[in-house]
Amino acid sequence: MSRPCPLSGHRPKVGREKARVRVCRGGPRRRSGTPCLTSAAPSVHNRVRHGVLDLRIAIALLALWTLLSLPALAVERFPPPDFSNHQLPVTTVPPPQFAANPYVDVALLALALALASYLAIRRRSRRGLFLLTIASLVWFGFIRHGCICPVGSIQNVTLAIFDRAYAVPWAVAAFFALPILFTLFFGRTFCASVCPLGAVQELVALWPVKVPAWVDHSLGLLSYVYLGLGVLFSATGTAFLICRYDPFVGFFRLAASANMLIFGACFLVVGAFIGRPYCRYLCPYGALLRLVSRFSKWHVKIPPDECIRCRLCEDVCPYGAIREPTVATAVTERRRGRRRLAVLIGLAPLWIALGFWLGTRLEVPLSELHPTIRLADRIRQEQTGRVQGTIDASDAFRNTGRAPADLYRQALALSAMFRTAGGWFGAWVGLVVAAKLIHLSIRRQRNDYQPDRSGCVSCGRCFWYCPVEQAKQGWIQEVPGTGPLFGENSLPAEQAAGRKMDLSP
Amino acid sequence: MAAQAKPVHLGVLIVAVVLVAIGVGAVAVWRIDWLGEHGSGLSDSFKYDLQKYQKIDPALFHYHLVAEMPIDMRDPRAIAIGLGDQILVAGDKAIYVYSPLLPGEGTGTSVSPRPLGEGPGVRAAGPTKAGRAVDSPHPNPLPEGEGTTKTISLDSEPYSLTVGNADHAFPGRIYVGMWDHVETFAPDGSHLATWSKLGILTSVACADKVVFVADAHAKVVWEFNPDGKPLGQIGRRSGSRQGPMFVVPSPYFPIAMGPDGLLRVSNPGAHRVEAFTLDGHLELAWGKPSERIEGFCGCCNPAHLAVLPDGRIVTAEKGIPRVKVYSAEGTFEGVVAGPESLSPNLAAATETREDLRLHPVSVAADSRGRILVLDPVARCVKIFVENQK
Amino acid sequence: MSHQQDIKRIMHRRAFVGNALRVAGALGIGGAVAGLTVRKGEGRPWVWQIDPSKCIACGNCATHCVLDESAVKCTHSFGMCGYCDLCTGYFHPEPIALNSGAENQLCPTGAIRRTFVEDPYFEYTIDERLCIGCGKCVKGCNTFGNGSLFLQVRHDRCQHCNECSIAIACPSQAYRRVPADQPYLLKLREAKG
Repeated sequence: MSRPCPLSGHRPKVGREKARVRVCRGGPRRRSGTPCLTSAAPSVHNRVRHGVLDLRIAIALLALWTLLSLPALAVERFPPPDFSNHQLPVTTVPPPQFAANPYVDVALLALALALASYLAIRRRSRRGLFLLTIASLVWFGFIRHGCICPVGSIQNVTLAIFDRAYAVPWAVAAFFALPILFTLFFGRTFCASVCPLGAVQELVALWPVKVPAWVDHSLGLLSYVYLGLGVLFSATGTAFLICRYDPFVGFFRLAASANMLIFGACFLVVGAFIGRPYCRYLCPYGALLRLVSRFSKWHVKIPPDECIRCRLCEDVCPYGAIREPTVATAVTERRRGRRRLAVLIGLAPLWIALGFWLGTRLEVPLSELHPTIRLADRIRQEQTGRVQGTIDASDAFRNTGRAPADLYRQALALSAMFRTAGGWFGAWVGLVVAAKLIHLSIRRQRNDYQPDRSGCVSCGRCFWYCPVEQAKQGWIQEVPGTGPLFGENSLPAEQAAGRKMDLSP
Repeated sequence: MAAQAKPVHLGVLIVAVVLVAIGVGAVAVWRIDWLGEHGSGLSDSFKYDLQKYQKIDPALFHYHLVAEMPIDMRDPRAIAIGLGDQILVAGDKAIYVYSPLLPGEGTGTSVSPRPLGEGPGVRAAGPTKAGRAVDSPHPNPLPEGEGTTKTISLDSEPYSLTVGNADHAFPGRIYVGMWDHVETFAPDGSHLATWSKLGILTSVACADKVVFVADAHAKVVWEFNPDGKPLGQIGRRSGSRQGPMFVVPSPYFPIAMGPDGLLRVSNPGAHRVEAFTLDGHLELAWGKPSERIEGFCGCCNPAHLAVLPDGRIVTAEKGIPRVKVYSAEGTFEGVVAGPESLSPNLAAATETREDLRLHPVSVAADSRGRILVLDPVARCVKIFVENQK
Repeated sequence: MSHQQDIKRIMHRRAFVGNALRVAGALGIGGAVAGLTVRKGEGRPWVWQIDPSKCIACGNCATHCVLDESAVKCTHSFGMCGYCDLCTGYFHPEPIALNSGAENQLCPTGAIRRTFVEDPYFEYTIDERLCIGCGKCVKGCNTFGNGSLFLQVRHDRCQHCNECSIAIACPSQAYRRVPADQPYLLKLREAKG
């Protein structure tokens, strides 16, 4: 009686044992007789304990039990031969091997984040950040095989919100939340030297070139679109798109399909010239952190003291995240800018509405990814004779003995869901575009060269190269040149280039 | 001049490299078969293929399909022919009794010709709806008028079925093999008795005074008198080698009674049909394992047996679903139905559907020599008639 | 002077409001995520597993795993096995002889071992080091036999990808997440006596 009920998974409580025994003893307890439905009994028994009612419940339960035990009989297994002297081997069930204990994992993540924040903001140590990057690459990448990472955890959290049957494991939830919390206070220090995907790109950013601003801005929108798609497909329980197209996880596992390895290699080749292409133009978690980082309490600063406007930082930033000081504009220009801003803000709802409308049109291509809809399509095509022959999926469906009409009903409901989801996705894209346009039209005032809070990944190169910092650290005697030096570097080009490769002070 | 041209070239080169890398990456990702639509990519040596054995030489077919009688059951499991060629089908905790088939072609009796393809079939108030004559140049033998004459309801799922014939001590008495016991019913459908519990029952058969019950768990055939009194058993070795004679690795262990007074028992693990006298002596045994048409395929076959009025044996196999006819002595004569005439996904269905695992096609033969095949996937009885010589 | 003090006060207030908002945001995110975790279950980890009643042994498991050698292997429920001499999961459909000759074996990698138990029974065990999870034997066993051979994700090999590559390619949607403390969907948990 104390066996755990295989259906409900509950171990019956001892205190309620007595009543249940009474119910079951009368029952035909033969064969697979595991009293499953007794888990339904406690709440009833608490209310009615004695007398006729009790008996009636017992009879009802008995009837239910007989009913439930019949299918069990139907699939009853045939016994093995009665060997005279042979012990049946036991089927081995090796338990799951996780790369790390979740407690250790989350603790290490928190530690790495704290260390990265300290190194970037307090200690201002590029070397420390670099070493931490390598350590993170080794641990979160190659030892833990890059899975699960905060980037992918977006989908687990989304699925948990929309799918009542799915509970996100607490370690995954922690992986999702911790970097966001740290970013809220310290900027994207996670991207700087904790994320293994960022780390691998950080290492290959050897000959970075400046991406034209308009390309950078437009490609930057992609990551928000990708975030939208990732959320859409995980919310509908269709796919974990972000994990599927993770370019570097194959390297971390040292095993992947050849095509995914080529894909990752291509990213690295591009990354040699365009710094962190995945982080800047695709990473959906990066998109989230960019939003959060705007409101961070602290953030890396380039010059510790007064900026000498040497532009070294701008030159050295591989990610195009340094914003130059603004120049004063004429009043008429400012007025025009304000008018433009007003128009753009006014147009924002229109963008969103347009996006929603266009998104609902995406129902068919989006839903194609859902296995049930794909299957329903295939079955319909086979039934109407539009395709010849069957595939594994349609054969498997027929073997289940389910009626196609039932499948079509399910597919239709899913389609409707995708229409709504597509609409929200479109609205999100509309919002992103509108926000980008508005953001570009807002005029800001900057006196110094400053990192763009959303684009900056806190890698620390800028303050590493800053002459003011170097002088402060005592690495050089004095700040070369004084005053604003627009248009030319204060250091000879060769020297700057030489320093780029050389990480030791 | 050269110094100025150099950075331009470098820039072009970088752009080119980046574009090529993006292109290669895009193509690489595009070509991944995420959904497995192009199959596993394994070579043929990794594929399990029975195609070769599923093709049967058309010349070997000695029977042809003349009609299909749909059975309105979720889960039909057993078929038997009753007195006067009534058709009994068991399943869904019930037994449906259908009126006999019309005398058809190939039986020497003339029938009034009816238009092809629109035979009225079984038009019943009961569980069945219209039957369907198969497109063939032969008259439709489906019974006319009220199809189901009665329904007997059962307490649990039936697995096997037999009816006492005219020679039986109680003609028309219905013996139903449940999972582990036998229930008996009078010809009018009233319940007679519930016999004591045995192991896993797969088949029942009856001679004039004896009822045989095949028990796949004990691997013996029990003998009872018609009232359920144990008489003995067949299949237990005596002498130095103890233990069962039958190799029964799975719950397929059919028996059938022949007009020659011998009980046919399938020894499925040995791929043999054995004939026993009523007192349990092995008279003859035949059959060999082979995927080829004359043998019994795979494992645990034949899975069902029936005996024609002239004493020939009808065997039904699972795995590669096929129904064949052998002479009483075991000479292969011809094919009744193959994978093509039986439900197309029967073989596949037994792979995945656990509820179908316990009852592959079952067969019965009526007094006119027509073979009735119960197809549990198509949920119908397929009626086959011997080709005219 | 007082102007500067005003500015200072405003800045101070701004910083306070900002900090308050940040703390509120952090608490909100942390609370929401924690709530999601504990809403159902204890936030236990999940692993991927094949439901053998849905599996059609199509062979995709062998080739679509991210590992070079698939984590899916044939698993044998010994309590279900018929211990047949002619095992259709072990032998080629038309074997020349019922022995362990390579020409008679169904398994392309020779991963099934056949040992004599007692007349007429033989025991079949899987050598996981050789099995690639193609499911050929599973089909042979299911087509004719008891279905005691079936495919399972072996969790000592599985990488526990967040999205299982084989699950995407599974034509019968047989893959699903199962709690990591009950990581197998065996056909028969205990052999019936």
